[in-house]
Amino acid sequence: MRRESGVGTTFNDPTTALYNRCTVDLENKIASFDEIRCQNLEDLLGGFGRSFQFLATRNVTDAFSDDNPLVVDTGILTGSNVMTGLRTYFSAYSPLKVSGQGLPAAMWSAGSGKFGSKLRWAGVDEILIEGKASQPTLLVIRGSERGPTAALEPADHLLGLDCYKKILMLHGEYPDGHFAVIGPAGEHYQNCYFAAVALSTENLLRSGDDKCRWAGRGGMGTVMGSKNLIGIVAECPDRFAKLAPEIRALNREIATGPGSRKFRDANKGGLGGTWSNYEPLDVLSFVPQLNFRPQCDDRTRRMYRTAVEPDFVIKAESCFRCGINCHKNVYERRSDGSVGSFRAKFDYEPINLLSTNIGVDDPHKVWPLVALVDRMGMDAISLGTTIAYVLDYNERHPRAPMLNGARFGDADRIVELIEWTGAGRCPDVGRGVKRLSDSLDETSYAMQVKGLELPAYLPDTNPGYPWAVAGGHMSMATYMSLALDGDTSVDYWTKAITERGLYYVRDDLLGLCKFAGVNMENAAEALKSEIGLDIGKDELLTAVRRSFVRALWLERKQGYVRSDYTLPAQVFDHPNSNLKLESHPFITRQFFDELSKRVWQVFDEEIEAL
Amino acid sequence: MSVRIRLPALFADRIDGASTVKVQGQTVTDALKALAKLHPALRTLILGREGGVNPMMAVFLNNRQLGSNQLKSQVKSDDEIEIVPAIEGG
Repeated sequence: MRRESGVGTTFNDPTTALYNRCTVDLENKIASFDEIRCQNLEDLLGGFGRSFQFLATRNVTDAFSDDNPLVVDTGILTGSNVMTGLRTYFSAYSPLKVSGQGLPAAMWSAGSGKFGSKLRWAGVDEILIEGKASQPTLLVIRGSERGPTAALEPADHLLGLDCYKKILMLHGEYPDGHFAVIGPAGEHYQNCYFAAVALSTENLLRSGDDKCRWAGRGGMGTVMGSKNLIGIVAECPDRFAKLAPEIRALNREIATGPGSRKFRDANKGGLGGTWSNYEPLDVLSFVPQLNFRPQCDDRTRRMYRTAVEPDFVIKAESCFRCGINCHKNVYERRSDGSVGSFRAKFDYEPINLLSTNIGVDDPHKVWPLVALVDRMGMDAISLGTTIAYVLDYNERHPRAPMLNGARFGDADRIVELIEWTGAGRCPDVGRGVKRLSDSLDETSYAMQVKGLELPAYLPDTNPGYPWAVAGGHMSMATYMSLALDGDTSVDYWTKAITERGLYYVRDDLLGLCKFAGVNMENAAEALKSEIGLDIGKDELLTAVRRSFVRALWLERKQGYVRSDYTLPAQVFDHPNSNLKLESHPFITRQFFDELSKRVWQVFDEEIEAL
Repeated sequence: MSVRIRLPALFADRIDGASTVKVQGQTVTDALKALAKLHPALRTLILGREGGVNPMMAVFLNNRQLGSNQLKSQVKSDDEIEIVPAIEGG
């Protein structure tokens, strides 16, 4: 990214900024570099703010067609000195998230690790991947004094390897690089629509343990696999700019302030990460169990960290140069109490959806499930939620179960389902819960919205889900609103969706991790001090909002109609009486219709004005 | 006593970005109630239905987490309180 020559010392006019795009034509094995002029502030900021503008120029009816580009983007703060400025964004039309008319929706997925920083340091802001390679291919981007270069190399030697083993092999070949790869699930893209992209971390390379970060949602690994692109290397020496005092102070605030306290461990004055969501959600009986139906029993407690700690050693570890240490990595505890082998990373989403929500609540049986999903390179949310549906179906149809007849708690058969899915041998699961439930004509308990599986927050508590434009909880921050505010009025929820929740996507432009909890003032200060972009909070908010509304417009372009913006029918028709909420159930059809009307009143006007 | 309350973005964004607020109070609960009075937009986040501190929030005094039975702890001048949500995703 650079300013056009002779136009001053700041980026305040986005159209004077030029970003560096590497365009890769996989079919013809050509890679080229171009400087692209930013059209507006969202273009300059990057992430999905930029990629969705590009995707909007394409008419894509099939996610596996050559017309579907994969855009690998960074945010303006990726690779900067701002703590957690590490994010890489993968955007494309998703094979998983489809409208009622069957058209693929644009999706983005984000991940940390060090790949994004290496890409920026190599001089590349964005990679645009077009077409399909005729053989398994590796894209190698290298930084040099004369600028970046790109080469397409054979990748046959990587086929079939687990994600982290691919990364370790590539580390041997490209010692100064970091990597974005797909696993076996992405290689079997035709039958696994929620394959993820694994991103390397320094911790993985140093330890040899499976400690990837993930761009999990929406099947971006599937799109990569459909292009026969097995991995991307970004190789160059680390590049650190001079650390401004304002950024030093901001980083201290990020590492020690209230914004990240939830994610830090107790020894750093924190609450212990997302895993610690179990306890407060349990107070209200909001923890998903048995396909999103809390049972009000004590089985949820078996996955509390305090219950797991006696048998395992838990270490808080981190991404590159991050002081939050949000990774809660679980290791074997040997009989003498010492630390044994790494087992898995325990975050709330994967552990709930691969434990409590599928009836497996022995941590000794849970960690292998989490580890298996990671090794095969699948999105734990989509996989876990789809498997929960299968188990639920089998409970309801004991005489005619599907697949291997697995039921809640049946860990061995669940392992089988995961292995089959990752190996492309189980399209019923691999193509996601919407397609599966539609084919069975039993959709009310399929936990999906707009084709994308729900994360581990009950839809009964979140009428904001339908307006999430990417991942259900990371692109609309209303998943915790009911637990925190307790308000069930239409007025409250209209504001929660249209005035607050959507701004959660801000960091998906900037390149920051949401766990940094950077407030708007500090974000604006970071842009000014680190980048020379002096825009103030209001202008930043406007660009974020415009990007969000554009994403809604893109959904409309791909055939989403009002009836697509709804919740699973079970929420309306069979509310769970176990939820500890005075006014439960509050999401009636009448409530939702009124909410929908008011929310669209706001968004329709903005979509028209785009 | 005048104490400082530091707020995460969830709170700050509801009160035009203010991430640190000074209030008066003798105890932690007093200080939080003063914050809710000063900024009614934060009321439902800070206070639970029964008028005490919202059980879905975690409260820290000088970097030490307080249990629900410790919220009546006395504060001293220039003490620092933090209130953060106990639920956040990822």
